[in-house]
Amino acid sequence: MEEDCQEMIHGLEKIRDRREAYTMVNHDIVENADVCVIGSGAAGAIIASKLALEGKSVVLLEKGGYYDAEDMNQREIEMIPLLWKNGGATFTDNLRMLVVQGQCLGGSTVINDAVCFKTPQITREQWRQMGANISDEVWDGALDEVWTNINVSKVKDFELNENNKMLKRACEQKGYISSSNDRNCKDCMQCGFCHLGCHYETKQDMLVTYIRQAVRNSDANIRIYCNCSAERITYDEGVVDGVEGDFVDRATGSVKFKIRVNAKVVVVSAGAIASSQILLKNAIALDRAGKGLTFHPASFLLGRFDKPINAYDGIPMGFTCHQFGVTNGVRDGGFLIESIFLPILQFSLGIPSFFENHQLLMKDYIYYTMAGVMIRDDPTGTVTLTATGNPKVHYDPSDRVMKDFARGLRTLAEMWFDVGAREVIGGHRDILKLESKADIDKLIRAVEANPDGLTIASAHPQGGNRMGDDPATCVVDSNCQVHGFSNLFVCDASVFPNAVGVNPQVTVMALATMTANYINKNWKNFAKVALVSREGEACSLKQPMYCLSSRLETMFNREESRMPVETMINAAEGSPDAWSFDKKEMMIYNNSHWKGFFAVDQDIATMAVRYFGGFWKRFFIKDGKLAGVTHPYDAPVYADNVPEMMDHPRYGKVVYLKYTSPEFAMFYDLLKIVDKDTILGKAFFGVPPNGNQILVFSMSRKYNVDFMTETDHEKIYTEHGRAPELDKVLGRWTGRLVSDSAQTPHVQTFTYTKDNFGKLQMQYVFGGLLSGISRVTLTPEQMYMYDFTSWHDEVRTVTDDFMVGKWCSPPTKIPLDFGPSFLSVEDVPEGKRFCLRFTLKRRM
Amino acid sequence: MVSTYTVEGLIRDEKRQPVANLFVEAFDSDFGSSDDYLGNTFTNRQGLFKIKFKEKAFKGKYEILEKNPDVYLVISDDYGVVKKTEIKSRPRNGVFKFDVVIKDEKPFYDPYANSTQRMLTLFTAASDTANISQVNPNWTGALLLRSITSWLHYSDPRTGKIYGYPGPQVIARPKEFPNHDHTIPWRRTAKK
Ligand SMILES: Cc1cc2nc3c(=O)[nH]c(=O)nc-3n(C[C@H](O)[C@H](O)[C@H](O)COP(=O)(O)OP(=O)(O)OC[C@H]3O[C@@H](n4cnc5c(N)ncnc54)[C@H](O)[C@@H]3O)c2cc1C
Repeated sequence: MEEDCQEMIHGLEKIRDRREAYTMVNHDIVENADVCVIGSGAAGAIIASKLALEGKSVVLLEKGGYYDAEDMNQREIEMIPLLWKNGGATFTDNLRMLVVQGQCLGGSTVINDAVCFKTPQITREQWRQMGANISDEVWDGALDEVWTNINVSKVKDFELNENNKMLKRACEQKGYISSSNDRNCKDCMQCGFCHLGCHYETKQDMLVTYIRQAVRNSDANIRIYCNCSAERITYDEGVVDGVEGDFVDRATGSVKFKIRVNAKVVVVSAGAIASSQILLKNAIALDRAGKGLTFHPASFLLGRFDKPINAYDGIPMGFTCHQFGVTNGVRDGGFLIESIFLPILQFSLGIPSFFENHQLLMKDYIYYTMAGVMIRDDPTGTVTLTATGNPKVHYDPSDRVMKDFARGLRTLAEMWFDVGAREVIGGHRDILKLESKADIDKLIRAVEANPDGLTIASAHPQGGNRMGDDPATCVVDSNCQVHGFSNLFVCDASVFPNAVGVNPQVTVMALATMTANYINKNWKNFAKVALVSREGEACSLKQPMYCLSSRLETMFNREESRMPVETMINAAEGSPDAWSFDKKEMMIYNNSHWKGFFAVDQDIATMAVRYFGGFWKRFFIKDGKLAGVTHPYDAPVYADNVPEMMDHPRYGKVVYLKYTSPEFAMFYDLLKIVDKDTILGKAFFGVPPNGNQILVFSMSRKYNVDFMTETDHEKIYTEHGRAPELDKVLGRWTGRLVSDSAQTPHVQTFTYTKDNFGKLQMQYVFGGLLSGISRVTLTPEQMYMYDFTSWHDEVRTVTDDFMVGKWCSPPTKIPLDFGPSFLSVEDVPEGKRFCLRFTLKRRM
Repeated sequence: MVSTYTVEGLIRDEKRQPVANLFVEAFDSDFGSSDDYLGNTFTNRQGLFKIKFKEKAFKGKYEILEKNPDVYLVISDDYGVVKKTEIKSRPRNGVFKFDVVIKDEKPFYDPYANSTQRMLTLFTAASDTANISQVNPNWTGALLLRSITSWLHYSDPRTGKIYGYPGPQVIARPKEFPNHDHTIPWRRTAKK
């Protein structure tokens, strides 16, 4: 990257007066770095910042945008879509539990309540028994470092508002062990809007601590890319070589630009759920990732009082009752009771009532106290991928968890009545209001009889990529390094072996501190990893097929034609070196002609043109002279032309391609040969040098399998395809249709599983909509799949992560010479058939 | 009347630092026909550039009326055009001088705009994560309804005021008024 871009935050949105140096991203990016970190939350920010301050070059990718204190305007409707993942609409698959996480620079630390708990001793011991070998000394060192860096201090008595005081009073009356919370807040303004980001910059979230420290230090080499979703991790045999991602426009969801980061070490810190999603998408730890999630689920009770409590006014989470939790020595499960309050929209969304009832409840908004029972739950949650690659979260609280809820709600209800509540509200759908202590039994019975009726929510998802020394059951080892990989780490709340039992941010930060220290200490091992020079799907001179037209245009204008015109000559027809396929790089070398590519945003490159309208050009020597022919894939046209060198007044030295046949005589192309396998071109109408430009394009002899033509597909199918083996096809594959002209989007997913009888079956989803089950048969030649239609699939394996296949019609005797272009016509013994060709990749 | 012309100048960024390696193309703007191309070059490390051209570059066969060329520049970096300058028609001793400042002229982005549209985009990202067969339809319907009505209801801070809730303590567009007040009007628990 250019020198002046260092130590900067980059992103798609131009917002005035950023606190930190900020640059707009307006093109694809290729980065080279020591370390690439995915996610800038509690874990990612610390790892990136510490490593950058230790002299490593670091690239940090963050899916959310960069918003600072002055953007935080305390308006729920405006801030929630800016800062919350999925606008706050992340639910478990049965829509039973809301899961809130942050999605912005700084991650969930920007929207959290700033409550700080050190990792409890009991949890540490249990985690050690589960194979997470972290000594107390290491824990203490890391926790202390974090504690200092995020400026933790105890909530002072004068900072406890009436809501917190009520909980305190209730605990004291019962004689329960309790305390004011520690918080990472400096001179808190007590505005009560923690969930919407801190306008006063008093909350010591990642933005104002670790991230700021790194970006303001001129010796630290860190580049942060916001609005950038990491999608792919590329690796080979346990060695990771980089990350690829998309810059996504927040308003439309469309991909604006691409990034490729070549790195020696990759750290996934995308948070619980998202980190498992990334691993699964990339076929990493497939059999282990996404299992054993816990949520620290909470259920809330409101106490309604006669006098205003004004709980909105002041620190929302200031006080905790430890009596029944891990912080008071409870070893199995248990719960904490924590004070909490919500601004009015979140409050309204959170209370389980409807219509008039709802109105009546809202009317008393300022008269409520509120606290949550937060359970140390069991690792029963899972994350799997949907057909479109989204994470599906499944969670059934265990019976023990429901018992703890019943116990906790009973305790809390009693406490609210003890301190004078007129009513206690919330919790269960079947009983909204408790009018006296006598009603508490009803609530408990409702919880027991209809556990699904209890409203629960989570802001503390954790686990899914379990830490532990056993590579058979755990995703990462005690250093957060992924088992089976030499330079890939996962570090965030997802590595917790089981529920930590307290609010998790400080534990996450401590693990991140340890991971950064470990990487740093062992840097000499990682330094040895050779940095690759891949460009992913980023537009560049070497791979112009990924470029926008504006970029192609300037590339053409600026670049010189560097090679002699003879470079254009293609291999003789049918010669053996005309075509080859590099399985490792997934690249096709095709010298039988130059495959043409339009700009990715070409006007005519609508969906239709992705399937129709590609072309190739071929150059050869005819009668001792250079000659050429241009052929659009979908029409029986072969336009002869003559290439000549020309000194063009505007473009300098170019190859002038003059069409010789009369019907094309009004057209000409100008070409620049920028390297031995790449040509940039412009097509004109008129007479040079003054023709009117119609199109800018590129041509290449080397392209990724994603751009393969039907001929390439057939060659790979016959020359490199083998019959798939049952155990090797199990899992989820994403497919593209093959089109001659361009790359097509992913259109289908195939998921192979064994049925109850151990037979292979496949579930297909097309376009995220049409789905069904196919029967699968394996033969020594290939794999067959049959569904309810008369067409069937034939598939062959090329590598462990790549298959090619076709969906073919039954044979017919009708002569089929020229079909619709996306269907190829094949000869079979029984006659002819149509086939739709596709590719399948295991990794996205 | 001179027969050789020069276009020269300096290109700087917003911070008045010279910008190197920009591709500068000079054109002669012609009314009614396509513009003549005068030449191109790259800026050097000092942000300077110079393009020379002859009279015949802009005086075509039919452009007998043309006395001096009407010169403008198209400046691009690696990724696209960054500036098209105004037209200069009066050379001094055959020299057209340009002093160009490249600014990011995109308007500021309003982070709060279209929040509902953005919400919907975010929702669709999560659209296929539910297992319809496991969903309780009554409850889900009610949840949806509650979400929509709450969202509509409390999107206006005035609604909360009816219930005695003062709402946000900062102005709606803090960055547009950098000197806004940071004190919280509502009762704060004071230091004893
Ligand atoms: C409302 C709320 C209140 C909370 N209150 C407290 C509290 O008071 N005390 C406490 O201890 N904990 C609290 N937490 C929890 C705590 O904030 C989290 O446990 C902690 O931040 C988790 O850290 P993390 O690094 O695992 O993930 P996060 O902090 O969530 O960071 C993950 C980041 O990765 C990004 N990301 C995800 N996918 C990608 C991708 N594909 N590419 C690039 N980036 C990606 C996300 O956008 C996000 O910014 C609260 C959480 C919430 C939501």
